Amino acid sequence: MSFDVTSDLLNDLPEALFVATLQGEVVYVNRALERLTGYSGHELIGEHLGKLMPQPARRRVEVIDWLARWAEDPNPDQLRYLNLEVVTHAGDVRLVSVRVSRHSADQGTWFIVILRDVTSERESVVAMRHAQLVTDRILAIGQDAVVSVDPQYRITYCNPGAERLFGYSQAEMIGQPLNMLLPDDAAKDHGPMIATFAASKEESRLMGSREALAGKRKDGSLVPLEISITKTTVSGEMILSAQIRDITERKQAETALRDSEARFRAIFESAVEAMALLTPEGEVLEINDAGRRMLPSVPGNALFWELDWWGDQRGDALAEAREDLKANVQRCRAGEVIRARTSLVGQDASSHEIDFSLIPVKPTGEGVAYILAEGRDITPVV
Amino acid sequence: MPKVTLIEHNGTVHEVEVPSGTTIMQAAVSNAVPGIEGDCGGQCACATCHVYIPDEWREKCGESEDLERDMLDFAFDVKENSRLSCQIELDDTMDGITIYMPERQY
Repeated sequence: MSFDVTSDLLNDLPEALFVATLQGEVVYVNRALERLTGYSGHELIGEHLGKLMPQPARRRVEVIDWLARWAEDPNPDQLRYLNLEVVTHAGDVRLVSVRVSRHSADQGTWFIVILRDVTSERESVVAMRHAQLVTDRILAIGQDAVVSVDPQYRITYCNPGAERLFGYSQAEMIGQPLNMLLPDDAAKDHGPMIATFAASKEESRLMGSREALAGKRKDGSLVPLEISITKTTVSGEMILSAQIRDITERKQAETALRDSEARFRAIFESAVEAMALLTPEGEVLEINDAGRRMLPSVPGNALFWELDWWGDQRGDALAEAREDLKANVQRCRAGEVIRARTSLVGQDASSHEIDFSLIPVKPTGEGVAYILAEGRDITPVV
Repeated sequence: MPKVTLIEHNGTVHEVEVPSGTTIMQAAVSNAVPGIEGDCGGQCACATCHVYIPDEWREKCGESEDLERDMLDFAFDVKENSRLSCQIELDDTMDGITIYMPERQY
């Protein structure tokens, strides 16, 4: 069975096609073009192609000149990037990718033009471009360093934060092995560590919260880091990206806080006076060594007035002593400094005169956050 | 390292510093400056890196070639001082250059 090429065949082409004279008069349109434009053939045939592809607003492009140019060279690079516009019967503007060739026969020469509607492609490119720019700008202004590597652990991306942290320019890092940013002794372990993560089911991992991680700057100095890594795979190729935070200041603050805590703990524990820190409700948070010597034991979350200050005392006398102390704590909670003398019974059943005070502590100047209880044994030495 | 000031059509100012030999398009794209797309990657095959060059810098930017002028047919709101920024390579004598962007590239 022979196969005849007829205009029926062109009508069944999935691509929109029209034929025009070199002066731009439309002489043929196929069905796909009718569907694309909403015009029927007889509305276009005999018309200038400017009806279909008018001069784009605020652009200089002369459609007929460019069709002629592309017909001369059917595969220029520009065809991948330059689009023309079709205005449909309904007035919608559709972006079209154009292929054009020149067809000569005995009767004359024509342009054969194929159009592909790329409006939605362009919309998705613009949306992706926008999303990419937002991401890039956030990465550009972020304080943390971000570095990505390919499966060979070569740096494929680094942000300005990485330049600041490591002291290299982007150009010095891109394409280089990740090892350039690692301390020499860590470099050999790093590959297997990343490989374990890459092969794991985890989408991301925080490293450095427990173990100490360090990076190496261009000048060779080391910097303590906390690193979150994540992986993305596109077309089978995995990119590993790390958000890298310089924790030098945090480490210094932790050390300063630890030293400060140790110094104040030494003062607190070594004081001759018994001291206890209470919540405003009277719960014991801390009690120092001198305080613990007055008591057989201090249970957790104990209320200050329920501690065993009064030895073997029982009955109404004990209840009254506790009520007095509780009332004093409540007055202190309201902001009053309490100063009193009281008698306590020591663990060896001996009686002690105590110069006792409750001091409201207001760290921010407003509201009582703690109550400091102090007691000094002023029993006359016989 | 010439410094370039890129001003978006909405007035937003971006200052970037790039190595000599970088084109204005690359300077914008590699620094995530919005308003310059560079779809063809600098082959002078599209018109998505269109910029306006102030008069005082036009001579330094050199003459545009035929292909660049042709591509500008597809750019939006082309003026006498329009250029495709992928065709302008920065060098140290262009330190401090300011360029302006059109309302849109597509």
